[in-house]
Amino acid sequence: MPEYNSNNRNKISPEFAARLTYLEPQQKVRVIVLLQVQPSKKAIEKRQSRAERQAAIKALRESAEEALADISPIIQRFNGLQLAEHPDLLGSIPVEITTEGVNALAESDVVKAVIEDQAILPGYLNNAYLGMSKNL
Amino acid sequence: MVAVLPNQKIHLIQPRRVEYEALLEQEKQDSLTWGLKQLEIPKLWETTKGQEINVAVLDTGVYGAHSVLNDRVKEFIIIDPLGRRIKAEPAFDCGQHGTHVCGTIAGGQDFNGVAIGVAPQTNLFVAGVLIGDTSLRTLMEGISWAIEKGADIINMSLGLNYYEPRFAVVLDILLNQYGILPVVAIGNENHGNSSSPGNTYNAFSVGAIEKTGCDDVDVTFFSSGASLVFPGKEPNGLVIKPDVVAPGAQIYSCIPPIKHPKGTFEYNFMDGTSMATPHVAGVASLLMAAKPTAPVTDIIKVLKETAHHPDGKDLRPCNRWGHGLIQPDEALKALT
Repeated sequence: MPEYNSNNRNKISPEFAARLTYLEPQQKVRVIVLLQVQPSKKAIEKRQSRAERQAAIKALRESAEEALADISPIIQRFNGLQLAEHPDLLGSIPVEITTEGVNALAESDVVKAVIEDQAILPGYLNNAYLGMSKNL
Repeated sequence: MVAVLPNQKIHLIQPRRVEYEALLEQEKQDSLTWGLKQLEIPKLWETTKGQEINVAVLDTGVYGAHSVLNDRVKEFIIIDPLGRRIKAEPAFDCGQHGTHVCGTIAGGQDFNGVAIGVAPQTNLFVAGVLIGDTSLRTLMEGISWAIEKGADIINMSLGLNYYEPRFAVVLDILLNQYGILPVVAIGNENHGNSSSPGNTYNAFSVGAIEKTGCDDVDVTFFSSGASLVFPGKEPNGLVIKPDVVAPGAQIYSCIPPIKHPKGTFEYNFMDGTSMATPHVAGVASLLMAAKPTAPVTDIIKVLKETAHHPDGKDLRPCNRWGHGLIQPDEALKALT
């Protein structure tokens, strides 16, 4: 079982860390790596115009690309696979990597968090009643 | 020996029966769903109907040709389980959930004149992120697409498989880098539970209320709500969820047409915090349209502060009502 550096606690949730302990160090998992991006220079005080949004996207993209270049050697060292060519507009990149590699990524200064690529589900209960019919 | 307990009889407690026919009749008379009536939405329509606000809906898709959506769906994309964007024409729903959610946000009037949507002039940008065995990767790509399309609000009536507090990083970027308001369902796991991403400390999460007898409302039995305690992690050492509540049971909205022996149905009732979330997203859209310069932090603040809690302002937030039932008209006044 891999051991987890306590400094990584702020980057890997205890729940994900616990799941990783069930895997062998060489087993692979699919994760979302949230990269350190340049924070916005000032607080957003009003809704962004189209131009402001584009500027924010550009700044985040550039910042995330720099961070990605920093973690690429880690991904390679741990036999990982980058699942997208570029980081997305949230500064994240999907990666398939060994559990050891997850820990190594979390130790990098340019990584803000590593989260498991877990399933998503719609949040509703039931279709209670067919409301109204209309002949189409 | 600790205690001796009598062998008591147990009895079945039957849930209250919902009279849908009566509810439909009432909504027809009011020309409004009970949710819109409860929130006094027509008062806000005197100011705005949400024009020029972009709401992204990340869901099962949308049946864009539904008459009640009347060209509200401006763009549609499928994000597949590998995170690829697939253009699809016409917009479709792999289930009913996404169409129902879209109807509550921006639907017009049904064929009986019942208004179903909170912000009927708001633009919808819909990404099908719940088609197939999708995962967080799909959701992240859907959010990226929404950012690119100029979303002001993102409706997420969905949940993750297990607790993931680090999703806060994503919400932080949306709020502080892009000025986008994410509105997230708190989940249907009942009181004492909650689901991610709604239970992240910085999520604006929504629980559900239902109509009870005598024109009253209460939090539904299924609506999640819980507190997470992290000693020494102040200022986020205590996370109390949900943040607010909104109508989320017996919600009448549109669905893709389905054939049935009794006819073709294009509307139905659904229950869930998924249905409460679009009420709040729609209200946020009205507030943003009315006050175009208001930052999202102010929108969240007024919605929480003006919310009505049955026990009063001093005893909130709690894990049933959060800060309370949103009061859109009061929130608009507070923004002024």
